[in-house]
Amino acid sequence: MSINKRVKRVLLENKAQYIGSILLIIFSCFTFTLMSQFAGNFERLANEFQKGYVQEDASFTTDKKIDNLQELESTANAVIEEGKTFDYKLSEGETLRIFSRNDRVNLPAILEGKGLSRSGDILISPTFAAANNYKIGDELRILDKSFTIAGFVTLPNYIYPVQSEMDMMPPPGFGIAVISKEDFATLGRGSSFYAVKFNQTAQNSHAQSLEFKELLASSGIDIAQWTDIEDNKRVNIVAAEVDILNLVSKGIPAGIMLLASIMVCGVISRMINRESTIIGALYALGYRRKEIYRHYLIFPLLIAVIGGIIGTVLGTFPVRSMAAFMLSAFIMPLTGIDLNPGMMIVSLLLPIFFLGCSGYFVIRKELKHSPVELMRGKKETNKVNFLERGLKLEKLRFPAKFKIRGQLRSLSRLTFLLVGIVAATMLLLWGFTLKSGFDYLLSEGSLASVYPFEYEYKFDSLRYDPLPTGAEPGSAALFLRSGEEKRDFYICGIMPDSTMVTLADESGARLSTNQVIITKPLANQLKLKQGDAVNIVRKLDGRIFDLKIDSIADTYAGKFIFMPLAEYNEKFEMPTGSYTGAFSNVPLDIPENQSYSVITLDDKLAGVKEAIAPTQSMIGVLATIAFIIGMIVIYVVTSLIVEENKNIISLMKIFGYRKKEINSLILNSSTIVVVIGYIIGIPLTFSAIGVLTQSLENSVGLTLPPMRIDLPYILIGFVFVMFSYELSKLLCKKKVNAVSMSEALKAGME
Amino acid sequence: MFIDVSDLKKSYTSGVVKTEVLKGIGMKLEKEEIGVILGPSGSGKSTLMNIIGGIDRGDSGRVIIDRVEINNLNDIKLTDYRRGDIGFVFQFYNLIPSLTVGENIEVVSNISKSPLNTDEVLTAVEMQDKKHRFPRELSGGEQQRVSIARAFVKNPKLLLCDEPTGALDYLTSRSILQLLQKVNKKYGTTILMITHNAAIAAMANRVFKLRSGEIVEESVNQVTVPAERIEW
Repeated sequence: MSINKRVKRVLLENKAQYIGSILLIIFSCFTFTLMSQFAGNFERLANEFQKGYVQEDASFTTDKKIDNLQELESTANAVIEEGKTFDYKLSEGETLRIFSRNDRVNLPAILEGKGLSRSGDILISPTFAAANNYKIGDELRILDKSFTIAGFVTLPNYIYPVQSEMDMMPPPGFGIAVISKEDFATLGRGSSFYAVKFNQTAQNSHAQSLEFKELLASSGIDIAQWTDIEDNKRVNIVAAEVDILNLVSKGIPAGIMLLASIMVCGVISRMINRESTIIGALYALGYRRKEIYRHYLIFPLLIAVIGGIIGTVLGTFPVRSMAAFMLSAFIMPLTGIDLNPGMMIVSLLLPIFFLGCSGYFVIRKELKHSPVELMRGKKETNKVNFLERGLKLEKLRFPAKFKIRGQLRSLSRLTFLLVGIVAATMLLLWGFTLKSGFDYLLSEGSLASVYPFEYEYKFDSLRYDPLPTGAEPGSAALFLRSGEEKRDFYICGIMPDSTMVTLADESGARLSTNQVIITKPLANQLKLKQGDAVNIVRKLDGRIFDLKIDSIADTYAGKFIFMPLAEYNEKFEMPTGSYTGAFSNVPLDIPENQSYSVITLDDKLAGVKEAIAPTQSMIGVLATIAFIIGMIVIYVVTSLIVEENKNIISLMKIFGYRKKEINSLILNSSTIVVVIGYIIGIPLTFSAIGVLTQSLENSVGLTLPPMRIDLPYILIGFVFVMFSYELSKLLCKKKVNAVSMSEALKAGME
Repeated sequence: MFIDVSDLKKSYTSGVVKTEVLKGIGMKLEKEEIGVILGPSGSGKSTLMNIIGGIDRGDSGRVIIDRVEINNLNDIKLTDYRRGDIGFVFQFYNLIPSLTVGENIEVVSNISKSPLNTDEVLTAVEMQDKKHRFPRELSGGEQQRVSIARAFVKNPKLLLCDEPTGALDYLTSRSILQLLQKVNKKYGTTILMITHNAAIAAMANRVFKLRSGEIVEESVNQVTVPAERIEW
């Protein structure tokens, strides 16, 4: 069709609007491709690693050594391997968790260098090496024996190497190491644990675990500690990460695609309105409705195809770098990147579908009118929208009335601006919320003040010995709410009137620890109030208990139930006077033959600080994306406002309005929408993060930092959004100044 | 003399083609008079009106309005001139669609030093009951009434009307002309109107016939005809 020759000219005439739409589509497809391709590869790499290196189904410790492993293996139809481990402090702030090399379950994967080939070789985790400046070939001295770093390693049960299960991030001074069984034996230290891998993969592993535990009990073996792989925080975070990526890879692109669709629809609808006389004339000249449809559909489809191809292609480039970056935190071998052609096709088709459908409906709506109506110049006579009609603005000053009316005139434009600002705000505040949460965890008001102890000891067997002054005994075990399979939590027995756990209620009044206290996040999760009773299941043996909650502690430092140690031992049928851990402000002198692990408050804080570094880069990336989206949306809307108000601007110039006054009335009319969009964005950010947190808690029981945002960040976010707004206004000022007075003289408005 | 134009020339150049639109126009109008410029399309009447209104500038000649030579004013002064002294009424009303009738009038009163009361001008144009309506909800005649109210709310020295009845039917046109005559009498506003409808000349004090950029005839009506008696 010869009228299609004008497509290029029309696109060039309204560059800003079309380039803005294309940029949004590029960005949307880029995010979709990058995230979905990365998520697919990440999941595949994790599966390959877990299968190829025989990841355990569970690990456990027992009260005594299992002698008949082979017999147990054949009865349980499983592979069981005994491993040995202990924590060794290389120097201040450097702790290695040393494992003996396994041969059948949890096989070490060499990431760099070579494996253990001779006595004195050691493999260490790459993150620990990088953080503490160790290179392959360096010497390490462990218990007076010299080791040479042969390579960097990761274990399938330590993909995310946190020191304690309660840690959020791996501390930089903590790492794992693997040495040969022979070398381990010569060190004369460490405790045993068992890793089990069931051979029947089809069967439910939870049921298999239960059967296996019964088998152990029937063999007279008491389990001291049991961890199913689903509950292993060092592994299940991978599943959480895949969940997040899947959510983000759909959510963000869909949001941006929606924005682009609204924008393109607005532009096309305006174009058809503007060109209604031409369309009417084309009808009169014999063009069919279908041909006109096809002509106008070229615009959204062209935008979708150009944006889709560029965005999809660009999105494939950083997949490898992103994988390499992520695998430095989730340590797994990067064997290769496979691009999924199906997802690339989806990425190309999505914008065509979104823009094609929305464009079609808009065109259909606009072309419903008869050729005569169109030729006369279709006008929305008598159409006053409900907002215009409903608002009583008499009491406002004229400039305020003018700006509000200007915004309400086009609800689609208003929606687009509002959605755009909300989207930009949500992206921006997402990063700030995470930062605020980490700041809070680091601040005096949280970890350090709730748990004012320096060292947290965890013993591998029950202890009864009295502890020195400055230390308090404690015990903890994992529980589930009866009927639930996920979202486990710790119940901790602590000293009544403990000085190591300081909890306060909502009013800030200190709570005595001589009662059953639940922390607020756990109370919220279990929907418990003060005085409620709850049925709980001990994960170790599946036994059911009931517990009455006396108080709720207003703290976000973890999901715990605290109760007096004596009551804990009695309730959970532990020996009187026993304990499995200690909180202390002084280092404890523990006999050589007792196995334990220790974590310091500094380690915990270092872990949180470590978490902040990538968060800060993430905030930078999110802020840039927010800025770009904000700029595109505001610039396009402001250009539309100038374009649509050319006659009004011209008229104002005729009436004697000065440049400054016109700029203020026309360009500042969106200020209130930008401010409202920002305000709406705040609770929506919390809701979105709430959904994400909930989904993570539901899937893996992961506890994220508390959801909060500090006032300074809200203000910084506001300044940021307003800056992009002011910049867009500045760019549009020239357009306003360029409107000539003859515009109003040429045409009638109503 | 309130309007004193002499030897006013204006031409436009498009590529290599130069079109002389005004070829040495001379015209005068006393304060509180109604002047009508008659002429066919392309005669230059709109260009003349634009220059008198301070929207455009002449290439040469003199344009004195109330003792001020506006052809020599810089952009800022010219804006002040339009802002303070001139009211405009357009053929297609040019009301702002997003504003109500009352707010459309405020567009002008908002920048005037001593505007008339909005309700007073609306009553004068018999549109008081439509103050909260939007332009889309009004007929053409009603919109033109609002346009007139908007033009004289700042009590301008000069009201410039560009084909004010050009888009209206006979009866409505007559009522609009009556209204303009009423404004002229009540507020003492000088009115300069351009039209191609020769019948309207009867209500003017002075009539200027324009053809191809020149005034070919100028006449003074000793007795003006009330608008309600004009027929065409």
